[in-house]
Amino acid sequence: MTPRRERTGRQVGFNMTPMIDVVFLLIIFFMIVSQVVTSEAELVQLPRPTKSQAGEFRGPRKLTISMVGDGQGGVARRKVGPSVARDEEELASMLVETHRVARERGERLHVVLRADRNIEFRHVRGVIGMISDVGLEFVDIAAEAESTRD
Amino acid sequence: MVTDGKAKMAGEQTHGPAGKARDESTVATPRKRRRPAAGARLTLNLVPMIDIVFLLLIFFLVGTRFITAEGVLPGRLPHQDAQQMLPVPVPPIQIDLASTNGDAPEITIAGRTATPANFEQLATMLAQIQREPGYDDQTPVVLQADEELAWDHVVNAYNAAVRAKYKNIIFGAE
Repeated sequence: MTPRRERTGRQVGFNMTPMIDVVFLLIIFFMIVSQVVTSEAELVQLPRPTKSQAGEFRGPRKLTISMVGDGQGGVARRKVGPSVARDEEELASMLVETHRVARERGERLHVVLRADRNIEFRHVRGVIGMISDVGLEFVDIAAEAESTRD
Repeated sequence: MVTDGKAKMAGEQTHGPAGKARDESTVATPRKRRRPAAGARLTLNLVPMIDIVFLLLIFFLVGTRFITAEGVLPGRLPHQDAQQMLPVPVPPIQIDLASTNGDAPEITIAGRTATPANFEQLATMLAQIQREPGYDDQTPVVLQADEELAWDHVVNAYNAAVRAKYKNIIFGAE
């Protein structure tokens, strides 16, 4: 008699297991999603202008060029869209190719330049020069938006 | 009840290896005594666990906000076939940014004696210039920065020009 009563006693109570399952699922979901969001956009220490005017990107199609700094004013890594460019020459050829493909489709590319705030100006100007040489006209400069700052 | 307990004590003392099984029954004795309430109390207490789980959930939800919001400053490069542009009646506003080894750069506006001390002042000065006769928001603003100046400062100057509602901001060549 006693063991049976014990068993029934344990079964009384609200069954939390499905709820905990769902909560854990949500946790894992948000953890993974937050990681995906960061990895898609190369982690760049963007410039922080005073009273930033940086707004939302408005354009038909964007091509993101990321320049990750090496901490000493140089460039550690360059990326055109999702692919890595080994040096400036490769970046230039990738730009030419992307522009050609876009023009064949009749699209106007807007470049979003995401460069590390510590990179020396000459490196960035070099890339801007390349963008201009290719014939791309719209270059938006990525900067930190005002809302995240104190 | 008392005799029951005594018997268990004796059992424990005599059978050494079987003590574990006996222990369980000793623990169960108090439950027997308060039988009416015991049924409800036997369930695993999930409240602290749920508290922690919710705390974690909220932590990660808030944590995702740590990704810095970024925006873009719109820009346009001078086009190759832009030569047939109307001649500019007034010279463009040239902003010189001189590197001072890591610190905020020295800002000068070409042809003007007043020098802005920071980018906040640069924006107000640029806005003032725009109100002068001959200048408008289409007046080109040329950013002439030192080679080794950090990109941060160049963007800061660019941002100041955007703030002053200039539409035509370009980066100067060497």
